[in-house]
Amino acid sequence: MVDRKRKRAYEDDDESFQDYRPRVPKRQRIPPVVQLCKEMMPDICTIGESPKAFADDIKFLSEAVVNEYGHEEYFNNAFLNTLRSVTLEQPHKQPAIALLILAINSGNQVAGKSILNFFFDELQKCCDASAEDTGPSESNDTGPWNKVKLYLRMLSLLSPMIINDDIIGIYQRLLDLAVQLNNIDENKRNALSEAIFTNTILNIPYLFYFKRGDDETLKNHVEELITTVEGAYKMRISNIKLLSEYDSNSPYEITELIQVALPNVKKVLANNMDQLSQLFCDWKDLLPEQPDNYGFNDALRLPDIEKLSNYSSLLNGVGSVDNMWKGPRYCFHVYLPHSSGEFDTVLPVSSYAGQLFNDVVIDVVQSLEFNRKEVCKQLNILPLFFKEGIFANMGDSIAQIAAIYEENPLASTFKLEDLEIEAILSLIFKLPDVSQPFAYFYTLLVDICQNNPKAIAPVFGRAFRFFYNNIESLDFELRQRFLDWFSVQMSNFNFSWKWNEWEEDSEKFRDSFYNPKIIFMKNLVRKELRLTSNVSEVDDSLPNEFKKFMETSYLPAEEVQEFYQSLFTNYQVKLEDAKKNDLLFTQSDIPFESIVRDLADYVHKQNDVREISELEAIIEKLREYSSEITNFDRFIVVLLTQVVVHCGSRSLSHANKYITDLKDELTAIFNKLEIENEAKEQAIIDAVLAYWNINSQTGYLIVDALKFSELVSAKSVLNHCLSEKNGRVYALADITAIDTIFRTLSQQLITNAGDNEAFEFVFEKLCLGLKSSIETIGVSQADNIVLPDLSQQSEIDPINELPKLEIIWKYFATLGFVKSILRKYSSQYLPLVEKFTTGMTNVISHEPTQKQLLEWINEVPQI
Amino acid sequence: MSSTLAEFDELKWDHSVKRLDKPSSYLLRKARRNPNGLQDLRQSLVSATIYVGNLSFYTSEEQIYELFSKCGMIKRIIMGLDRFKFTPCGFCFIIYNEPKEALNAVKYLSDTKLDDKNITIDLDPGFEDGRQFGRGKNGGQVSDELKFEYDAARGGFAIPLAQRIAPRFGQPKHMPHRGGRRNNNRFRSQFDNYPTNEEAMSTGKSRYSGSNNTGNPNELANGEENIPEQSGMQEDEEEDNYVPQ
Repeated sequence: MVDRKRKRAYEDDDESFQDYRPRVPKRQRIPPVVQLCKEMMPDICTIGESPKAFADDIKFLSEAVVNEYGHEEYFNNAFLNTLRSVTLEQPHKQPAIALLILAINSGNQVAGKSILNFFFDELQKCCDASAEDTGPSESNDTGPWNKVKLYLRMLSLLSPMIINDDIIGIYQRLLDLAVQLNNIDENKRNALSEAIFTNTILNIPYLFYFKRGDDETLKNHVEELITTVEGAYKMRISNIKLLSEYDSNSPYEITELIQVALPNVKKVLANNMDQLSQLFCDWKDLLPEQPDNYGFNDALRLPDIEKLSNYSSLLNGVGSVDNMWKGPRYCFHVYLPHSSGEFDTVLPVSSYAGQLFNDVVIDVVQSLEFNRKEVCKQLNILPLFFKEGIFANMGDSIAQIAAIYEENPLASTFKLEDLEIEAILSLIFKLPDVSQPFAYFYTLLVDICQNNPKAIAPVFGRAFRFFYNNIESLDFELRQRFLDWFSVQMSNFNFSWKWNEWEEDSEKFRDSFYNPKIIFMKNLVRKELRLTSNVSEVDDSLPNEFKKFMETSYLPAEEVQEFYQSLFTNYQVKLEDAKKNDLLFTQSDIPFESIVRDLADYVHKQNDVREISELEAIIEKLREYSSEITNFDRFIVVLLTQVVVHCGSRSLSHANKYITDLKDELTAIFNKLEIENEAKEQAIIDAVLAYWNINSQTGYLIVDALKFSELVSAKSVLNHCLSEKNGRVYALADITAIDTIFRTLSQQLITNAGDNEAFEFVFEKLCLGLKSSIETIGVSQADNIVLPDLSQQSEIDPINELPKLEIIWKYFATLGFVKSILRKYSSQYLPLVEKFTTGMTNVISHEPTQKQLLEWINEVPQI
Repeated sequence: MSSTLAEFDELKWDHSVKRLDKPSSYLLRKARRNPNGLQDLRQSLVSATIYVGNLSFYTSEEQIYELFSKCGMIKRIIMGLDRFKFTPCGFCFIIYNEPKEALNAVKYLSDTKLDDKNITIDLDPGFEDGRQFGRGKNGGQVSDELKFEYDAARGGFAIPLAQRIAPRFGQPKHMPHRGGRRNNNRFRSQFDNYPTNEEAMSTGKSRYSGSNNTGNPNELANGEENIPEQSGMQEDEEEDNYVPQ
């Protein structure tokens, strides 16, 4: 219709014009092969996601590939690349992909052989890459050895089309390599060797995925392989205290992944592979007859030991699973066995299934980090790729599971949610470093919860409680990570939490400054307040007992009042004025108030109209009032700093702008004053934090800006946080001060890489703190300092005993801080090990403390 | 005018799912209309700058810092302001120290909640002075003037309800913005290169029809998506090139 109309319209025109008729450009047709790929590849990526269509999918896909493969390079490349990406990014789908390949092989041997060669070549490439310094890798790159693991798993799945000797040969070579690396140094753990050993062993059962029990020669080969490696591989269990998640009283025993790998595989292969058939899907019916067994074109070439030993520390970038092996892989637990009844909710890591699921979840989370929504989805459908009945129903509560268990003790009590969240938490709580930015894991957990809040929220709740209950022994740095995670989670879910559970703790230790639980609750509420502009929402979520935490002052108002009072001779600073987030010096009853206003006007001026002489004149005018002021030079520092901070109080960028604009003038003025540099810098920091006492986070961020403008040094900032004020060291209890220390040290790492001064300073300061705590506790040289049992049954009176408890908590917090910095900045502390060993023993004479510190210091080279 | 966007249009098979740290479809569409589009897109991957949208007007810079510093070290936050009132109007730019950190923010923080709002994050070629101001008639963001729902966190109704309903009722929402330049042939022709859904479906009878026509795949493999939505909704959000006089 439309066309005809248009045609007529043109025909009505001048005939010759018709030639110039603007044509609607033809749609560019997409070549059929591209179109085919666009339709087919997504289906390969989602294979197995709808179990009902699985058999059809395999049939149609394999038929299509059988017909297409080998005709066009574009198709071949697209197809092989897709196979690779699924293999590496979604390892749970490997068996389904393998089945597809086997089906293709039965219809098109050329295609089958070519796919097999492709995987072998990829495996070879990874082996080659492992001995080369390839520079920083992508954040979803799990590292060459982890990829070797995944390719080997794929090849093992393809065992029905491979000559047994050839596939076993690869295992042999890899395990030999692991043994050789392990033997380089008898006394030292070899990270790479442990990774290769555990990864390779974990893959063995996959050889039998499609060949269960019917290939005796393969079975014999495997048995032989296991016996040989068992005899040749000497396991080195290293319990590095610096890496332990708990300082004392760990709620679970420490096990390393490498310890469980071989026994797990032996167990799963025993009894005619009974356990294996309960874990892997049975797709025998779908498996077509395989025409022939292929060998590999070449033998696998592994890099030289010498070359590898350069990289055996596995110093790989972000995201790398290889890198996780840098320290011993300790098993991490949150949902302990028997914690909620007679049953376990997480498959034990001492079972093959438990170890494998943990491995798969970590691989998916790491390699799909570029799409967290997809990670959620894949984790949710994980059971589709394993035998039915491994897990209890999604979302069953603990009570429901307990009831089911009572009725039928053979029914599964394992919760997929528990397993997955435990694995993700193990990544958040990984020491010494995390593999991805925290934000990824936090939002991933938020997404998982958002997809199914009813099922997941209680699982999180149990984790929160677990960490909260163990917070006294939890590592100092991990407490901050826990806090961070908790606050992000809450801010995404309307801040709802069953605070009532913690009411008793809050009441019992209400006056405490150092109690770890109080510290946690206080910082949590403050963090929440910083994440919202709707204060009433947080307020409403809190029961009365916790409203006290809504008061966000860093120092008690009286101390701020004292600070201001110390500047004046006559003027009396009022408490309510000190509480305000405002410039105190503009109070109308301050005699030189108008001069302060001039000063503010000056700061407000544009860059091109400000003259430093004007500023100097204002300061000269102030001199007339020096009788009102105790220490004129210090006063000027405080006043100028606060005026600048006040002018920039609207937002952080305002503050930054004024500081950058005025830094030269401030430096010039301050340099003319008669005040020691250290005192001057302390006065600047005190001034900022007195102004921002209600929001010390902003205060410290402004101090950061001052540091970048070189008005204060890193050392002064650290000193400020770590100094004791009225018996309180804020760096042990206030998250904003703790964060400032970590932030400052991390920035030092970037800007002054060769300079260890700041690191040394923090260590020494903490040691001095320990010394004074030990003296106050009054313990004899040889006696241990122990935290009294504070459980409900204990008879300690928290009110009368509080002063004593406080000092013990303080002692442990300081000790925990030392542990955290030694671990986190091990590379900076490494050159200082010797110095600390002698220096520290001179300062601290208390033997158990000395022993503990020495143990950690000596572990620094192993991090 | 560059209608194809080189590497951004290329079909790749190197991942099993799509990446979240790619330029959004909005950015791609904008780039197609812009002579420097391709350059801008490339720039957006290395500028270390992101655009954050759908913020509550009440969200402060400090709150933004608290959340976004979890992805990397922040160099600067530039709040989007109402160009008349100089108050926050629901968007901001964040400049990180490193491009990787900006990509991380896009990957990890898009669609999470800040102040109860699901924030949107997009890559950005880099901040220029003037872009911090809303470009809507009332000084805020254009998107707010088009919204129908009452949103307390974003200034309630932009235009009183009665006024909005009466003249616009029954009309496409964005008629006033669709006229002129954007509706001309130049604009249309770029999108004509893309197969529509129907077309894609009619090319084969079975699910994986064989290829009997051999075109050059590399030359034509542009555009991973099917026809991009032509609604002007996103178009009018953010990206304020208006410089106040």
